[in-house]
Amino acid sequence: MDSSVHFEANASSRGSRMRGVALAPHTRLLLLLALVVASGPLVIPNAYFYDVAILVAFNAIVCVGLNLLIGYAGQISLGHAGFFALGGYGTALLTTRYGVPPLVALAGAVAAVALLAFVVGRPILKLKGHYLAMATLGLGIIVSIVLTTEDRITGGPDGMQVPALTLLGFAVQGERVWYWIAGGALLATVFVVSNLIDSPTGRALRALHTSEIAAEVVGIDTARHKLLAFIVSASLAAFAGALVAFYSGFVTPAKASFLHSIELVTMVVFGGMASTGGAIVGAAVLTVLPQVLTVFKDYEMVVFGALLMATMIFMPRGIVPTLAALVLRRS
Amino acid sequence: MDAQWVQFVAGGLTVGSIYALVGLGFSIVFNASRVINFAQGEFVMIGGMSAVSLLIAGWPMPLAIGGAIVVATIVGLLLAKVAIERARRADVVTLIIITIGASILLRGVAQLVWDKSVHRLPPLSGDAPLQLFGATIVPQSLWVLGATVAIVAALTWFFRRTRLGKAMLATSHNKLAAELVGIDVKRVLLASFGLAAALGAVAGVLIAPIAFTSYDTGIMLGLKGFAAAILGGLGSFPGAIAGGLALGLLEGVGAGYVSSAYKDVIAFVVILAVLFLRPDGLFGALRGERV
Amino acid sequence: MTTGRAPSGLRVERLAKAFGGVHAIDNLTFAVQPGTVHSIIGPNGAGKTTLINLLTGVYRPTAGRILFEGADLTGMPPHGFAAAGIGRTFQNLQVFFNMTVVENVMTGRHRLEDCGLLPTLLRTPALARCERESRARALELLRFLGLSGRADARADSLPYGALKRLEIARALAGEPRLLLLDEPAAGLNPTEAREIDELIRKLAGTGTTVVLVEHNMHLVMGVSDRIVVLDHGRLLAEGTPETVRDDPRVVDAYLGAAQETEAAHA
Repeated sequence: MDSSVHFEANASSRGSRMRGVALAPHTRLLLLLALVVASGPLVIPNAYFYDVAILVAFNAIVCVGLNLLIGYAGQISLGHAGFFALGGYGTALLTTRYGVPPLVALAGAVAAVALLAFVVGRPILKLKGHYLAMATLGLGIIVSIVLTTEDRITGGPDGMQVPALTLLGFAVQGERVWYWIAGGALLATVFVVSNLIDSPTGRALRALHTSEIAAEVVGIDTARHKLLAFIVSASLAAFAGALVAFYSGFVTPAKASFLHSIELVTMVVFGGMASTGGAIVGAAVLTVLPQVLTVFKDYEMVVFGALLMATMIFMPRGIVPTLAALVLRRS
Repeated sequence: MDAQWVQFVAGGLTVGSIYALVGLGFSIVFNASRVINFAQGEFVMIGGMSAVSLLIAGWPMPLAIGGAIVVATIVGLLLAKVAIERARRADVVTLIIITIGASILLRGVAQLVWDKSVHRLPPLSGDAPLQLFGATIVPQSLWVLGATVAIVAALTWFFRRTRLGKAMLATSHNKLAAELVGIDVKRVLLASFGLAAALGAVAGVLIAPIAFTSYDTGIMLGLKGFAAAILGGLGSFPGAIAGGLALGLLEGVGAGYVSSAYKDVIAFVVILAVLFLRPDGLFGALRGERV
Repeated sequence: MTTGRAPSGLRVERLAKAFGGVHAIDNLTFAVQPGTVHSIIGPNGAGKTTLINLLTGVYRPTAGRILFEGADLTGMPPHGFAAAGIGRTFQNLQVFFNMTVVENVMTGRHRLEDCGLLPTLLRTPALARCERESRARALELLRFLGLSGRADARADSLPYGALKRLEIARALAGEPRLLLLDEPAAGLNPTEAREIDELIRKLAGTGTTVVLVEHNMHLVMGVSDRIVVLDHGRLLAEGTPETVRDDPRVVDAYLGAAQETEAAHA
């Protein structure tokens, strides 16, 4: 198409200047993350901190997935802990009751949760805003109550034991081994989710966040895309839940609690919406914070609640995007 | 079996009245600000716990109740002023998370101010159970039902006859028009939160003798009050009342005849059913979104 | 308009849309030949935007049919209309403000892209190639519309006139065979409006059918092959610009007022 139609030649803004290094932002994140994970053992002093790092990684996996749903697709879920817990319980049940090998059980549990998300997602995602929030909340609590009540199957409030994860016949034990597993799982998650975001599908999700009508009108099946984001984020939550189950050796209904769902949303919102790096930062800060605050254990809820409110009132886009914007404005 | 049925109905109506009061709080705030205040349940908790404290401090019962309501109202006004007013133009997700943060903060503060144990308020007219229609009913139940009726009547008078009440009603129908007519919408927002907090506190004070109170009773009561509000149609006052009573009855009958372990699930199944089947609730007060 | 021809272009048959008791569109029938420029005019409230919404699946008709290139699209969701090759712009801009300019246009290509879920998740070379092509085509379109200087700027940094052009670029990215423009010249100064005029002619020249809703009579009379006049949701008149301009009913209902506004602008 030649430009025989003349439009006023508007002065070029700084927008089209070439970036210094030709690396996509998500590749940069992946490399940075790999660097952080690889250098971990050099700085981590003892087993306690390895434990914290592992928990950060597992929470980050859930948050990256949840961020896809909340930050990119613009939906909300106040019941994601339900998916997390079901991943753990599914794994526990398959291994203890049916003798399924651990890795297969993990895959099976994640697949089952993905299926559940598919079945539940279709009707639920027709809702918007407050109503979607309440529906996901309700579902999460129902899962939590069922897990607590059906004690013959789930072991009730005390939960169930989970046997050790075995890879190629060797039992996975010890915090160092788990550190690499957690780090690797997080890197794989970030790889997959970043690819999803940097693709036509990712743009479709971002589009429907801003204007569902305009998205539909360019041919995006918004219902299907919302469902995709929902299923992916639910599956990632289940994946993390299963890994946590293997790591800690047990599952309890508390993992499905409303409070846990809120913690997860807080991590995403605090770290940064529509920012994969932000989700990881949020998970890191809010996993480490309670550990730091064990001295002030009684103040945990106050700090948490205040943090949540302050972030949403003063930095509604979350820490990482707000800081990034500040840095950009200076340069 | 008749006596048992009356028992379940009586219990259901009692707890249903509490849900109705909490649900009213949700609807009032929603009408003024389109915000669903997840902290609504905490006002119930603050009401009950404050009354306990004031009683222990030596205040006579009526003053303790009044004081508790005042405390909760102040907290409600603070929440509106500090958080909601500032974030008025934020999107839905942001507002939801702010109120959730508020509820966690309030619970955390409650844990520090009070403790984690369960407390009980003495009932308003003694413990001796009454026999009505073959069922055993605690006198406090009658107080709950009676107070709820009185409050509903008072609210109806408030919204129809007082300037502030009419302003609140007008704002709920059409905020822009209300502003154009000179109604101070910010004041309406504050008043709504204050009123919702007061209602929650009353509910807390009424139910504490029966169901006890502790720093975390707010969560479930809040959620169930919300279920009541949307069952009747979010924003509708008669809807919140009908919804609350209906939910209470469903729980009472369900717990009695089906399974008491799953009693709490009923409220959430109700939420889901309403949202999927009839989002406007039984009394459908919501208008849809414009394309 | 004979019906015995091979099916092509847009056909609207006895279309109706009621909102409660209000008949926004009532018993509307007309056809648009492929490759022509068809304008829809009428006073405010005549139902023009409702008609565009019906023609893109945003509203479901309460009666009647919509046929495009022989296929019955009635009742399909908007993405179904898009898949059939219909694109549109909006009167109230619906730009994707959370993306860059070029990403907006790349999103417009959605119906033509089918990269598959697994290649997406693993970022196969095929997907990377898909993305590169998509970006290249988007940049071409931006060049065509004079926006290439701002390709990587965030969409919310653009001025109003540029945003209107961006929406057109996005709509064109899907290579539509029918393009519906809802008041493309609204809010533009005379120079910008002239540019839109040229753009529409160029598009019609490439074989794209253009349906235009506009108040700017100068633009409408100059660029249209045929004009449909709506009044209170009904067809008031339909014909060439000359016929419509001289139709006494149209002058009565609409053009009298429009010409006054024209005089004010001149």
